[in-house]
Amino acid sequence: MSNPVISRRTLLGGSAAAGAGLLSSLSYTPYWAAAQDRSSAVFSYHADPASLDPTTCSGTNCAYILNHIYEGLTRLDSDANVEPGLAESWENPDPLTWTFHLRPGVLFQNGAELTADDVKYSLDRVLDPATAGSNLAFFQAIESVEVVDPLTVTLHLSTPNVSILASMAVTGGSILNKAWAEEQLAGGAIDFTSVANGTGPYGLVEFVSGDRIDLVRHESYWDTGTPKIDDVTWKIMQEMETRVAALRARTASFATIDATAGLQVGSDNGITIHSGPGFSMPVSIHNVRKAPYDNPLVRQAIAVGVDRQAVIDKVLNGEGSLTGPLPTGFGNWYIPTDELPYTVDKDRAKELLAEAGYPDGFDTVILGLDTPPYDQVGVVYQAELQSIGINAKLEQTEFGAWLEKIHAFDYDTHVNGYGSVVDPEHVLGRSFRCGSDGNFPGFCNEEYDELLLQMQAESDLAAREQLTRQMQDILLEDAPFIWWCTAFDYYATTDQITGFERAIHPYPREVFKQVSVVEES
Amino acid sequence: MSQFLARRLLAIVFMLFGMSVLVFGAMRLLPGDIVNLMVGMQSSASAEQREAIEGQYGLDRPLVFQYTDWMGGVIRGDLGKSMRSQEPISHEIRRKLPVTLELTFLSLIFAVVVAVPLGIISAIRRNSPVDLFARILGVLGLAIPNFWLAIMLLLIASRYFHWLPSPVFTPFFDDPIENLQQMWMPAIALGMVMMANLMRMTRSIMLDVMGQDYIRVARAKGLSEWGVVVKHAIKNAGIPVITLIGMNAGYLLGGTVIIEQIFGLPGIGWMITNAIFQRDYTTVQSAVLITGLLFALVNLCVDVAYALLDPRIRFA
Repeated sequence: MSNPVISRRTLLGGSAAAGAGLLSSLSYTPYWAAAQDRSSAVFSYHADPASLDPTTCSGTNCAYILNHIYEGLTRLDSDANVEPGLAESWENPDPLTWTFHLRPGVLFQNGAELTADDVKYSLDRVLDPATAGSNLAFFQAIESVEVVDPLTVTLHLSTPNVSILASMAVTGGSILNKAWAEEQLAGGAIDFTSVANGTGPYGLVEFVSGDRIDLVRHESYWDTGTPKIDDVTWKIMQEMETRVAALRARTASFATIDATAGLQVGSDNGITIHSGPGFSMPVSIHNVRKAPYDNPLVRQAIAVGVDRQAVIDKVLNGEGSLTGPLPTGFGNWYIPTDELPYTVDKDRAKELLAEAGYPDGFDTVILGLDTPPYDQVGVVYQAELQSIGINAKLEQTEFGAWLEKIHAFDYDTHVNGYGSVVDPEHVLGRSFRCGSDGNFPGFCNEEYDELLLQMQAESDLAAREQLTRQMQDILLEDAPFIWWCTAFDYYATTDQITGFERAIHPYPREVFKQVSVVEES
Repeated sequence: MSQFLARRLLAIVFMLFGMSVLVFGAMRLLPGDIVNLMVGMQSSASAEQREAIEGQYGLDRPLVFQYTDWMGGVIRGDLGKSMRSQEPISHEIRRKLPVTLELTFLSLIFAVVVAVPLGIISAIRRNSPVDLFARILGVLGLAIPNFWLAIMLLLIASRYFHWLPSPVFTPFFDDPIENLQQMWMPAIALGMVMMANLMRMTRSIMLDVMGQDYIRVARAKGLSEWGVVVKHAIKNAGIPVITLIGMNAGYLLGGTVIIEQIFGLPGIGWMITNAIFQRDYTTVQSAVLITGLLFALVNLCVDVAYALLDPRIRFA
């Protein structure tokens, strides 16, 4: 889930023009035009990364910036297909062995050459519980990392897991330089706020938390010809109004925005909005461990009784699409919208509730989040439950407090969101496998787990897609979640830059490499 | 005087101690902790992972030791390291506090420079167009929330003038012009309420003073109106106005949080807010302590100035 942004209604009014006279008297050279022969750009982003350690900080806020500094063995194209990254090729002689061949001649930003030792060091660091890596779950199948020769590394898995390929593309799988990291560690912990050393297209100049991250082109980057902009300033602007104002004044040439901002800047000719289904999905998760949600009839009643379109219409201004357990648009993994078994039938829902022993409904508490759009999803959810006779109370809390209850499985049903899947297994395995740490509903189904094992080991794409579909069908039938919809996400670029392409996933390693500054005539 | 200062400084030490306990306690009482946030929402923390993270931050130690570890460091001049980023907190404060102080100071200047003359003129020329303008401005200034004014300033500048300062903060001593271009809008937005307050206060005190007998005497002895205002009225109206300025300086310091956020200024208010959301205990504790110290010192200065200005007030 991306960090939410406080958004206030923008009121248009003619007052407060107090500074108007002062404004026109100031002459001003835009920041991006100041440099003579180096190209530069300011990109504005809505949240401060908590740290610049790629292993421990891999939420979207960190991923977006860190993916320009660090890289993993594989990477994702803008449609989330896995392609070679630092590994040129790989083979999978048996389900438990993966051998990666590294790209020769890749240099870190400090000039050191990438070797298999660096890969081993980085992956061992992820797997060490003391590191508290936040993508740890993606790598848990790795039993050991073996250095074969300087350019070959072999992963030995404890269980077959094809998703390891996609996992290598997430920020948590970033490759650090072993010698550099050890040198930094000699002085205690690595201060990732002031130093960075990856193989990525940009190197760190300075990180001023709460303000900006200055990046400079990695001159000996292996993918020659990229990146195209010499100096990038990653400016943190928490308020959306501020980002929109910066776009209008052209003091920033890229910004993350939301639907309402899209409407606001639509009238400005030089600003392009890039939007479409992303990976963000508001969901409601029932606690299957507890009555009445342990009764499949109750879950099915809710599944047939709630109107998913209401969230799209009332919360997302119509900009979302109905979805199954995997985000709409995600490779060939998702269930196409017209095949989703969603027909709203309030009477059928009430019948099912009566059959389950709740003819008059029941009382329940929804654990909600206080940040958009999840706050409003909670409100719609409450209304939808009430429409089938379930008396729901909505309790909305701040993220940290919410997370504590989620981790303790202390809820009846709660509002949550997906945001960073790169392989179907990341959701289907972690969230629904019996006993998994990430199984928030407490879902347990033998047939499902059996299919999951097959899916994890299946390297034939078509067969894997088939298994994924079967698993999703079980989930839709059993309904431990309500998958409300796949929300659109929004980015804006100005006429100062060209080449931006929106990626559907939050690990856009490629995006800014292709962006270049438009020459001013 | 020195006895007064010594007593006040001692009181500040006690106040800071009380505050440190309060902040320390409040942060631990907040539901949710750094472990949850480090693990994130992809999975629940396994017991092993939780222990590892707690051990790393010393959160497995009894609360009293956690407090004394931190306090011991603070007394020796070490504010500790940010739990999230491992950066020494003193570095961050050193970089961010000047931004907040500058913003507060500029707002104060704006408020005083606009409010005091306007208040005096509108009192002297009561019911004139200037007075009417000042009174309307006073009501508007009080009624408009500062975040709304801030957003309006941004919107008007960017939409109608296609102008905004560089988004990358430039310290005053690096480039004063660039810095002031970045700071004037936040300073006005933050200082507006105080300006309105101060202006209304100045106006009503001046009206009060102008009706006093000694003003009639001054006029009767043949002083020009200018002489009456400058020599007799302003001098007497000054003390309550200065008190108000002192009281408001603290208020401005608190108001910087939202203004910094809107204008993307890397100040200490924003730093504390973010640290609270991330449950970065040490950062919140140390930053609040420093802000509290500052607040106490400003108040002390105001008290001293107040007593120096008014001979009737003694240091008691």
